[in-house]
Amino acid sequence: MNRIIQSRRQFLRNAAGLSIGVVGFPYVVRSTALGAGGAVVPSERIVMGCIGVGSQGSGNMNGFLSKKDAQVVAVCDVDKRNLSRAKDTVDKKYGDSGCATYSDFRELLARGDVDALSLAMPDHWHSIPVVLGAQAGKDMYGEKPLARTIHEAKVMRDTVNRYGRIWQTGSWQRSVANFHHGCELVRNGRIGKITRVEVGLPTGGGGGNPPVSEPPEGLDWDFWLGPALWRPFRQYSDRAPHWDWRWIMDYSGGQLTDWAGHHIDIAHWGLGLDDTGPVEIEGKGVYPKDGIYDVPTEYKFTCKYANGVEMVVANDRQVPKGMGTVWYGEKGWVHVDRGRQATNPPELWNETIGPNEDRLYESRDHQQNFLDCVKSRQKTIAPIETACRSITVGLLGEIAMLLERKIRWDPEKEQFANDDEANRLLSRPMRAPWHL
Amino acid sequence: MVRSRVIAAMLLAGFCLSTALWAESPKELRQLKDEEIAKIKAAMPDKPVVKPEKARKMLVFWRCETFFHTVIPVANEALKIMGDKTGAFQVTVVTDDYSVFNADALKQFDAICLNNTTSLKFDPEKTPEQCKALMDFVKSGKGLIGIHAAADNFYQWPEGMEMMGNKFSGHPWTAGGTWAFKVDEPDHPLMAPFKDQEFKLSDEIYRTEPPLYSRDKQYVLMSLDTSDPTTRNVREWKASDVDTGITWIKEVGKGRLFYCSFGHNDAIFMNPTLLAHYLRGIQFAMGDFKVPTKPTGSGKGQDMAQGQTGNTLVEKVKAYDFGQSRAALTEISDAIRKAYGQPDELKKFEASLLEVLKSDAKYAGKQYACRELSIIGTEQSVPVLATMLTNEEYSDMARYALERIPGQAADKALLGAMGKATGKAKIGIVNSLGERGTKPAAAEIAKLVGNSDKQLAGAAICALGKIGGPDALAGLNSALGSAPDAQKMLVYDALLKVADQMVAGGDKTGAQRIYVSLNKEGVPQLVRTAAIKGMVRSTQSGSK
Repeated sequence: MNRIIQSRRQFLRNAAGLSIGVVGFPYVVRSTALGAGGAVVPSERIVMGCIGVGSQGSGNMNGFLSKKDAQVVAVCDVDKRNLSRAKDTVDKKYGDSGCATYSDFRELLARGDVDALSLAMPDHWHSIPVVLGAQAGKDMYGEKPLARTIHEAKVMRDTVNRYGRIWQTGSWQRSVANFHHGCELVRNGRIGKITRVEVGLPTGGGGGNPPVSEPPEGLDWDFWLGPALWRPFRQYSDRAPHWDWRWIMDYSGGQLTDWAGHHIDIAHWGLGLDDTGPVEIEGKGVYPKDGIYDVPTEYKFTCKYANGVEMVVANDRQVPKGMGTVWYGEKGWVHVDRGRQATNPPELWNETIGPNEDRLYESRDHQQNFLDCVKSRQKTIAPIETACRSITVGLLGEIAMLLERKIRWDPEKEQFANDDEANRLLSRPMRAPWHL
Repeated sequence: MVRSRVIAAMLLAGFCLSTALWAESPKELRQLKDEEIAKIKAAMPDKPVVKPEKARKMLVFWRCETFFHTVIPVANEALKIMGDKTGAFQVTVVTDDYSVFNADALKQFDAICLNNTTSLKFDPEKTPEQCKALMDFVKSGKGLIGIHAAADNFYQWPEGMEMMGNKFSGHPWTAGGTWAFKVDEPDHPLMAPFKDQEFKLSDEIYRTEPPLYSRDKQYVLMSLDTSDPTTRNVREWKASDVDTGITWIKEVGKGRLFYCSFGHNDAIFMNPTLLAHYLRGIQFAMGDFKVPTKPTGSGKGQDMAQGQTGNTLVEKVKAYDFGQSRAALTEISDAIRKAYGQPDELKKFEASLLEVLKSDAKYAGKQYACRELSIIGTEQSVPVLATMLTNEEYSDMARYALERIPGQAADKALLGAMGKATGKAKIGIVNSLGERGTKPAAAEIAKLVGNSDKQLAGAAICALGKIGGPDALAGLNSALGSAPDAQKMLVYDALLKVADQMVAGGDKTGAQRIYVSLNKEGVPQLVRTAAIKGMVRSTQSGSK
């Protein structure tokens, strides 16, 4: 698929929306943009580049490699070990040696022939490539949680939407049948009015005090740190810095923010609250008192929504049903988790949702849904504004626990009301030269 | 008493685990030798701490489903002697028979002592009456005393575990070692027998793991001193071990819990200081010795803050470097967190953190100070941080604090430093001014949009987009001419942002002028579409 053709198609869609309400705005629409001369010819394949090809990134890349309508032409990573492994995989798949490699994502973004990106970096690296990617006209499949701070999430959302980019968040549970069915049951009042939701996420663990050491051969440590404050490399796990960055607050909020993009995301979907957020948040976390890992290992916070619903988010040991999302209604409850579900009354699960009831977006293949939407220019099942709302809940919980008090959130303005202390935690200063 | 059940469980465990983990409970507890009894008597206090309000009776329960501690008969004897010699109470029943746990049988006692019991079978499903009898007993206003393995029980009964405030998760500090301890609450009446606030002792110490163990739920009076290298460098060390409680108390309903982790080795019950400590704890649990069961607001909180400011704080942070334990820093951060919302207290912390920045503390220590100042810093911090801004090595950490400090002083400091700084430091300052939306900086930043350092020029363009206003707009318009193609998109994006801000601020006409200017030949379609959308939004917002 040709990106310019896409843009024209996108332009067409937007231009059509201009017929009402614009008076005297002297715009000119070229005939080619309107599809004259048969310019809009969807090609067979969406040309993709993969940024961040560690464990999750490789998994996503392999998924796209298996799709007939995608062609991976470039991979990018700050660790040459990941990079060469990913290139080998791609080349092996296509039987050639054509996969380009980049250490700096900006060089990959500059390639005009790349339509779409698959993104899987540590959380503190999520925002900058997305903003620049949207400006470069790329559609993007990006990992959850959307961002490390609420401010970054908002800027990412605004930029992606400003340029009409197609975005799919890696909140793949939306494309799984039991989550979808559970949400439809809840949406259609099968357990009556919802009063309470419980979200169980994994419990974390502590770490030791590994000494400072040389970064592994092939890793550009300074680039890996990027916008985060400088610190020396420490071999905090066998695979460091990969994967286990998750337990360090400079890079992630731990299990809480990692899974906010899954079970909190599903909770919102069932509640129909994808486009808003809580108004009051209060909770408590247990933080390791020593060791390089500093994210909460145990956490529990309560969110109140304007409609009266109360949502408790906690590590699985602190909620009765453990992992997953549970909606409690006046007539029963629905619990969904990976590979399992339960309802009260039990027979409720077998109920079907009729064609005239409130049906939710249906996808059974998360990555295919993204590719389909790149072609159709329709919204994906997990668009960026939804991801922004999902991670905001996790990050609000993080802020409430760090401040050890109740905080009040304005979900319309997406700010704290009269709370300078909390507002400071909405964004995080970036190490030079990086900026949004 | 049915022993076969216990033995069967042990045999089963023997199959599952390669080595036998525990010794079997004996049919009969051994009789103590005369010299042992003499030692206990000699070490025992001879009078109560307070005269009991009435004759107090204690039940001593020592059932072991798993590990049997050979100290059990020694502790039983010590409790009997303690009651007899001091007159504080009388041990009237010593048993390992569960049948005592019924409301009628328990009525006669004022306190129950769990002497090294292990894996007690209290199960709300299978033995609901037993659970209820014990819980009601305590909550009705009576006492529960736990010795050492008393915190290794109730695995089927979360409420019971919660009452004890810990469960077994290993003992990295084994019985043969000598470990360091510290008295956390030297002024607390239960701690009066300890002459030294820090001491060493040989005993087996259980790990205390959150969330069951939490200083918010129990009042911890004494804990492991992990600043001692031997104590700290145990093989199975976990990060949470830095807070390992030894003695704690709490209220349970109207009743009281006293727990002490000491009590694995026989010698514990021949140690005058520890016996005096136990007596105080028992009299507290009985209800006779009235002591604070929570940290008092004016006491501990303040002490903690005071202990963490001034020279102590500076010294602790100065000692820190990357790769070392950050336990001392966590204590400071916790104390700061407790002071949130108290501006006067926070000012003291802020002053101490600024001392760190002015000292010869290592890079890591200064970075820690900046991280904290990022949250609590006020205008008081600005002058010190300002001096770091132009130093390329320290500029990032200074901005980490300064960017979040509200007020014009921080704006002025950043703007003042921008002219002097070079390289990445300058870029960072431009970025911070952009994030802060510092309007008075726009004209100065606008001068940088054509800079030969393309990274600096790009930073300036993005900053202007965030700041907005006429100066920013002028700068961006000039950048349209000067920016290389690779940076044109940044200029368009910044212009769109400026226009969006104008719409939000009510200047629809000004915004539309920008949108129109961006919808023309030569401008990328992406931007033209965005401009058209902006135009539509501006029109709609006007009609509302």
